[in-house]
Amino acid sequence: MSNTTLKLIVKLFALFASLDAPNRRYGAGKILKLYLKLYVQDSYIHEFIDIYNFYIQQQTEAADPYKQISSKSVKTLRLLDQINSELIYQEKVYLLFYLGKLLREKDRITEQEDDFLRTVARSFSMPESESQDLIAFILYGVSRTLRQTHLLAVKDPYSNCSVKGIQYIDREGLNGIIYFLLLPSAHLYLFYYQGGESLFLNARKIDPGAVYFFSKGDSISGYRMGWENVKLQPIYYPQVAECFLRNSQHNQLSLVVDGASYLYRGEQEGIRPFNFSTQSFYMVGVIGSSGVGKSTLLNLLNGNIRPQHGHIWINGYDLHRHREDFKGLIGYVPQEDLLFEELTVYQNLYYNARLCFGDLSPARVHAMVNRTLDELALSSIRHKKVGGELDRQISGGQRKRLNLGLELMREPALLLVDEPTSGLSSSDSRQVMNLLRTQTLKGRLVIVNIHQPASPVFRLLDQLLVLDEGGRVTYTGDPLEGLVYFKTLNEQVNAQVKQCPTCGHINPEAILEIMEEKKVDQRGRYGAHRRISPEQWHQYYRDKIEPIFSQKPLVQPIPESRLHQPHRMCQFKLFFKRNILSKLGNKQYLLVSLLEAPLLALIVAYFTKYTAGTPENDVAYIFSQNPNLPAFLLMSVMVALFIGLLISSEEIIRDARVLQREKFLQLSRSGYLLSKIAFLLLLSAIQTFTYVLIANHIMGIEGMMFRYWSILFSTAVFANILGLNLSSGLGSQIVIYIVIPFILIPFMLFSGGVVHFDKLHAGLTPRRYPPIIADLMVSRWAYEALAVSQFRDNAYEDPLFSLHRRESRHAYRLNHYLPRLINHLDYCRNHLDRPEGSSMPERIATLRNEIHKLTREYEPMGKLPVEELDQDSLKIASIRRIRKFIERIRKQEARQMEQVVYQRDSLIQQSATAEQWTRLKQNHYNHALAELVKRKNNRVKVLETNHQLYRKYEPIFMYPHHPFGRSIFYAPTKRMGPYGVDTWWFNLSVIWLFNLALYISLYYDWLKGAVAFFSKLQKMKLKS
Amino acid sequence: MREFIHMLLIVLVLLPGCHNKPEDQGEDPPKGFDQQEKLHSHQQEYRESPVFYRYPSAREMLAYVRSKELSYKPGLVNPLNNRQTYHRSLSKNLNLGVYMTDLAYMILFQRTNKARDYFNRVVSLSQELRIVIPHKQKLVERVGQNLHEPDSLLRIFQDYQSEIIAYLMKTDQEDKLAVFSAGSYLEGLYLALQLVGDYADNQQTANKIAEQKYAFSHLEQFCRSHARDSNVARALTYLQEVNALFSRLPVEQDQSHSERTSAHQMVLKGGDRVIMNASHFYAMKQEVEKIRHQVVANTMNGAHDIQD
Repeated sequence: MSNTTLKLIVKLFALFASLDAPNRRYGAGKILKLYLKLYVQDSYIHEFIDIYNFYIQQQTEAADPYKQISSKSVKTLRLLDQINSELIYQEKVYLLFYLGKLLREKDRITEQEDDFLRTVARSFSMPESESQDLIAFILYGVSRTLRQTHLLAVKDPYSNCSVKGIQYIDREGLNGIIYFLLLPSAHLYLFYYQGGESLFLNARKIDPGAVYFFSKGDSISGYRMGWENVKLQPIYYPQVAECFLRNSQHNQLSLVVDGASYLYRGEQEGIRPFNFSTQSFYMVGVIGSSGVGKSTLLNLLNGNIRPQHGHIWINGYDLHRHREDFKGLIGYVPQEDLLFEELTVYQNLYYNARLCFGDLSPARVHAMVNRTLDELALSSIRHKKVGGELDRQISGGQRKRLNLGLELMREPALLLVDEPTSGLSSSDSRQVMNLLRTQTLKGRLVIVNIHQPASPVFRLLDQLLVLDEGGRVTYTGDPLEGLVYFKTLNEQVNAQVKQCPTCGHINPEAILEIMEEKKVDQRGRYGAHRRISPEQWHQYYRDKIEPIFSQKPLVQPIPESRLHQPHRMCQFKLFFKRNILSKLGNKQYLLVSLLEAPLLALIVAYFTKYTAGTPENDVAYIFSQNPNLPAFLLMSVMVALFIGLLISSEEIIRDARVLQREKFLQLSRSGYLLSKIAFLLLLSAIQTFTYVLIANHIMGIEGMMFRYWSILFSTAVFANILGLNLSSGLGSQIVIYIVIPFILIPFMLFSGGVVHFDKLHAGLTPRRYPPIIADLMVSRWAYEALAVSQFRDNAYEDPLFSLHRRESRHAYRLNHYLPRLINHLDYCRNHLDRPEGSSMPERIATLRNEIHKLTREYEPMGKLPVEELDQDSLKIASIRRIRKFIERIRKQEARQMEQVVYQRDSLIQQSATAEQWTRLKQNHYNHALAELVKRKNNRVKVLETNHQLYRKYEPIFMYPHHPFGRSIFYAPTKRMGPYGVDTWWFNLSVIWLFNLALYISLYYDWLKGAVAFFSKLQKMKLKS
Repeated sequence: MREFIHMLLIVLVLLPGCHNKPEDQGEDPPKGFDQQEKLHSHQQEYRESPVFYRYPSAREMLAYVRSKELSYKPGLVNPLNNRQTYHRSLSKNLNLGVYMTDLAYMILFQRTNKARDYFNRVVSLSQELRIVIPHKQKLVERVGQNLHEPDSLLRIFQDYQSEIIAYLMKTDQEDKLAVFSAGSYLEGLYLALQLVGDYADNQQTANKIAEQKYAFSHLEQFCRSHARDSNVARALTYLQEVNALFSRLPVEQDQSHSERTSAHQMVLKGGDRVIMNASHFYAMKQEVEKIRHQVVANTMNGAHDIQD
């Protein structure tokens, strides 16, 4: 409190005192001194007393009594205005209390004095009934106190004291009765003692009849009636608070830990078995050195970890068996801030609220968020972006409060908070702890890890749990009693002293210091070992403090949860909007994401645009003569993969901590994942669109925009979902970036564009079809689709393709297939007399298979005695017959080919002029690509394997045979059963099937499972 | 007809060793022709040798022209870019012959760098026409290895041409062979006429060209036998136009007689001799140029081919 404010208060006291006669003002000075002791050191009190006396003197010397009164009223009001603007509400209540005490010193109270007091109460905005209760309690005790629901009595259960209509607590052995009054607006309690025993408020003796404040951390102790050396069971603040608050609350919760323990696999770290119980209205502080298991304890209590032994009961229900029932009741705030850094303070709260309260309209959520902002004292920064580590827009304390607020908004019955004050200043720490304190007053159970709590923070705790090395609990109980406990076991001097008798300061550090105190060696130095080992402390706890639960706790109704998840679709929309806002808030990210695709398009297209020139113009670009088009297609596929991976691989890992929190909300995983995918789809659609727009324009690719975009977009989506898998399955961003090249390189290698499949390792490729490993690569499908589509569907080739295909088929038959059969026949004829050591059997087998196929195909030509094709029964006559048959086929093929050529020539002639065809060809048909898809440089036109002949000639014109989609690379169509499917459609479908498979893998987190499995395997191997 | 062609093929292959030594051998081998020992033997056949009726070879015609020390004229050959305008099988087939002759022209005149480009063009056109050359890849490699060896290049050229002809024959595609030959010979005639340039300076060469009348006539007959094919029918119209030009040339008859040479060889002389005067020469040159232009520029019948 400031000097000025205190002087104003002193003046107020003087004004109040001056209402009475000078000889009746002595008590005022005494009360003023008591009040000043709250804020001023003893040595400075006299200064303020002098000021008080001065003001008293001034009032006394005033001439006109009437003027005095009226001027005093005016002065009083003005003074109260000034004081009002300086004091917080609790301080005002304290002031009113002491003014009331001032009146208590008198034997009679004048109307003016009474009126003065009420004026003060009104100006402090204290509810009238409450101020009346306060004044009545101070002056008259419980007899005139208006609201009995705000009274509590503590008495011996066998005493005759009547407390009719007032709730009470039994305290066996208490001589007399203690009355408590609750002031709800300030969350303060007053009490006075009626009786003859010596009772102590903390270490201070209580005067019977005197009214005291009963604050957080206070306890009333004494000795049992008639038993001088037997202590009375203390009355603790939480017990009193609980009695009052229990009546107003329906959702009450009890937590019982019955022998629960958890040890990490293969290690001695974790939590040892312990028993503990606590309940609503309590704030439990968990203290211990770093690494003793405080966070593990919280994770055990919040259900993240399942205890290996024992149980955790909430209202008599096992936490893990009834997890679903506790949905929304448990809140967990980890140490790290779980905030969306790109969103504003308001937006963080808003979206969290929308996800928690699906039954509330946006307007009501908006109102709730505003209320929360006020409670958290964050209203002034509502529109500020939270910011990241390097560009913080709000302070550490504000971040912590916001972090807490996200959890508090849904009012969980059990709130677990991990080190909420770490890294904060003492004032911020107090603010945060007060916020938590407020939650207990609302009936919640709060369990909080605190590292190095300061005295004011320590005071706020209702229960203390101390952890030692190895997760051993060494104390549970009242915080101040804990200090006494450790000091006593350590045989310290003044073990019973809980706090400084002068200032009330508590030293919580002493607990850990005592616990960890090392042995001193003979040279007077601390050794390596502790005086009392952790096991010993734990044993002490088990022997002296640990409660024993002989039976399962009573089952009680589970408190209602306010959590009401919105419908999955709604969750999806919320996640999506939140994601969009988050991204829009990061301008750098937006810029890079939107510009990288066009830039890459520029680079790839510019450098692969070969200008062959014409006789008229050396630098003229002719599309048909660009030899780099195949390379461009492959690069485009790799670009789509690369940018798809880049924008997605951090997505989930960035949200990992937020997801941890939202786990307790049990939101829809599919809603979350689909929202991510939807956003990435949108971004990938834009990226691939800009890429295709620019690259195709530079390369002169006309009329293929949609085809290119659809393939590249589908490929990018694959990469998006793959990136999400990596993000979800791998634990670190660095690992993801290391893994990405290991993914991209196989995609490139097995795309079919760098090395043709026929040229791969012989053991890998079956030669008929691309190897299976290539079929698993999305790049293979994308590249093939682009190459086939570009070749076949361009404006030049499209009208001619079917004719070219037929022509190719006849040419294959005429030039390669039938000559091969003739070759085999000739060989057989030449080796008929000496078949030993020759390859006749294989050739005959091939001939048999192929002739069989031909006889079915050319049925009208008559049947051929295929059975004669046997090494033992083969004759010259048979060979001649077969040869004639083949010759007839050859002639037919030649005729058909001639017809096809004629049809093609007619089509060309009729549909456009030669100049037009020339222009079409120059602008749409690429020779390098044609050479590639026709495999012009491939010497193997016919593949002979397994006694069958397979076509390898001009794959782009082939008709596939495999009924389930397998075909030679660059085939224009694929077969699915009896149906032929265009390669573009087929490959697109395969890519989307991959996408679906990856989504399923993402949903079930298979990668994470696999990583965990292999880690376990590795650990087992290392162990063995 | 097939047997006739077979015989002519044999003649082609044996031609280097089959020549009549001219009575007047006053002409020395072309100067600066140091590497042309074999070429020399090809060229000698045309020195004052009598006409004989056989299937024409454009290459031989050009070899003769070359032997007359006529200079290479750039810009005569069919530009490679024209290839892009050949969409129908007729234009492809005709110009395959054209490009083959151009290739021979460049090899003979030792323009070997361009020869490679033309060779590649010939290969790609023949591929488009689905003509399968068994050792095409080896031939292509040999071209690359012998770029500076004109005689080797000529050998490769001959091999390739032989392969084409053999393939077409073997696969009963004589109609394609007819069109190919028409294009080849037309180009040969065109090049020869252009190289001669001025009639007065090269009258002898001009008359030699005139002697191709009968060869042309045979070619026309060959094409007529395959005129059912629309492409052949079209090619035939060009040949008929050329033959019409040849038919205007007067024919002198010499009495047939035999002579013994100093090497004790019997040489048959005499027979018909076709005479080409200056006006005939220039008229033929102009007309052939027009016809040839239609073929290479793919402007047959203007922008549209006749309906087959």
